[in-house]
Amino acid sequence: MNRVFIIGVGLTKFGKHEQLSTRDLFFHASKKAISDAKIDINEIDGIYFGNLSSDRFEHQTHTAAINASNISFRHLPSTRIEDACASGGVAVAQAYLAIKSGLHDTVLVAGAEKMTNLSTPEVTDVLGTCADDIYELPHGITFPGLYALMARAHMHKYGTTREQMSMVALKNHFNALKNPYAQFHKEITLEKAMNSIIVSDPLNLYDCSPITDGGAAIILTSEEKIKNLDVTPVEIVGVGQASDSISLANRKSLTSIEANKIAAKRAYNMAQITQKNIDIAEVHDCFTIAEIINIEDLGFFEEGKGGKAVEEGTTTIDGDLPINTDGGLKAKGHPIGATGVAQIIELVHQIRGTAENRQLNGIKYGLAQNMGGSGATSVVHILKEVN
Amino acid sequence: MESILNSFIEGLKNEKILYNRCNQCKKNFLPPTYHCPTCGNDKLEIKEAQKEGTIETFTVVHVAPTDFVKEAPYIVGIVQLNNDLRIMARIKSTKNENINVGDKVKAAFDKKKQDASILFFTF
Repeated sequence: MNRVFIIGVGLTKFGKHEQLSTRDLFFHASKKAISDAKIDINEIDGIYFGNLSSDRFEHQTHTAAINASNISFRHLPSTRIEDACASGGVAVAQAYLAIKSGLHDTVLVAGAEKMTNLSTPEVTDVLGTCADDIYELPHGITFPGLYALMARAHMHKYGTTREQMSMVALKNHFNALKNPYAQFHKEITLEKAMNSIIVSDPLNLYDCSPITDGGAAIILTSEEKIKNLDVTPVEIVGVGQASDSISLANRKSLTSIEANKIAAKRAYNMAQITQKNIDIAEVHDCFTIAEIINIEDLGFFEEGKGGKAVEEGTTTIDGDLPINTDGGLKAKGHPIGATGVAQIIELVHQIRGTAENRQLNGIKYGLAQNMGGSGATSVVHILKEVN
Repeated sequence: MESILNSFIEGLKNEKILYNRCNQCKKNFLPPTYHCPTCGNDKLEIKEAQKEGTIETFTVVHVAPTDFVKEAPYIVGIVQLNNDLRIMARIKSTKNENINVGDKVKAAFDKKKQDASILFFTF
């Protein structure tokens, strides 16, 4: 079976792009990735595109074909993937499969989302479609609300504190200072994070990832193809994905996410490693409590100890296990479809040594965990340095 | 063909919280579905849950979706019923009670509604 390598990455700045649509965000991120891979566009034979809802944000579906025709005249097969906030990560998994199977040799995977053209209540409505329309939304629940329900349950069961959640925000804002592509470049104080306005109690504004426009793209290719290239490839050695009931109340636990645990196990098994081998991780911190739960589900910390690990500094950029060195969804921004792809881009930078002033030394294995909704889809990728 | 949703919503209209019991592994679950989420068995009984429960977790929603902006802030909770069943619904109180995890609540039904929000909980 083919081995699969990442040979190029490209990001747009994350933030508010008044003049740009999803089409532009896709195009600019993809051009950068193609250029970074030092290949010609004509070497690409397939496209996967992660996007949550250009339908609702921009009144446009069929975006995979639009994007393909904007970047190539060769009638490339192009497929949009929608798996809520995991759309980007799942698009990478599908592209991996396309190369692994031999169907394609070199694939462009991009994610993009244009969100800032709608008001906050309207964005809340669009994101709400990732929750259960029959059993959850009629009660007026929102995504901050769903994660607030998990946060209170986690606080009650394990003694996780408000301070610990705010410390996740602090850490990720600090990391984003060194990421030129991040939406926010402002250091925050614990006091400010803890006393910001309440969104859905016990979560406040600084517990929530922002509304963001952005695009992210990577180029995947086969073992055969990398031989002739003048780039530092990074190998995808593990892919794991899992699903669950999208309705939070109907899942096994309110304090952990079963799909995370299963997806991680599948990825570790495929890579033939354990969580102990992981040097750095990008986790889906759509809300601060999500980062705490995710680092427990991935096996890095015992259940209930994630908050303590954050408090003790274990997950800071100079800690034992740096988490979200690019600022995470919280401070880098969360353009839904782009997020899962952007996580992988940070791992590629850290592994191949192009992370500039946030570069860490000796990164061999990196893990990216991207999830949809309140955790009904989880996709985990493990990347490895090529010797 | 029948919809798996109808029995649950119809139940609420008749002031009943209906759930499924798997006749193989004996697990109980909500809402009704096509097969047991624990063992996969598709032979399921429909049973009626008790109308009292305890608050397992809750949130006070301040930033609401467009249809709910006028109602904010409001409380949404997950309530533990008998037989390990859990359900999401609004928690409504007439006074400003100090709400805590573990508080006892009872089911109530708003017949003006047509969807899952027929059900809510009060003290």
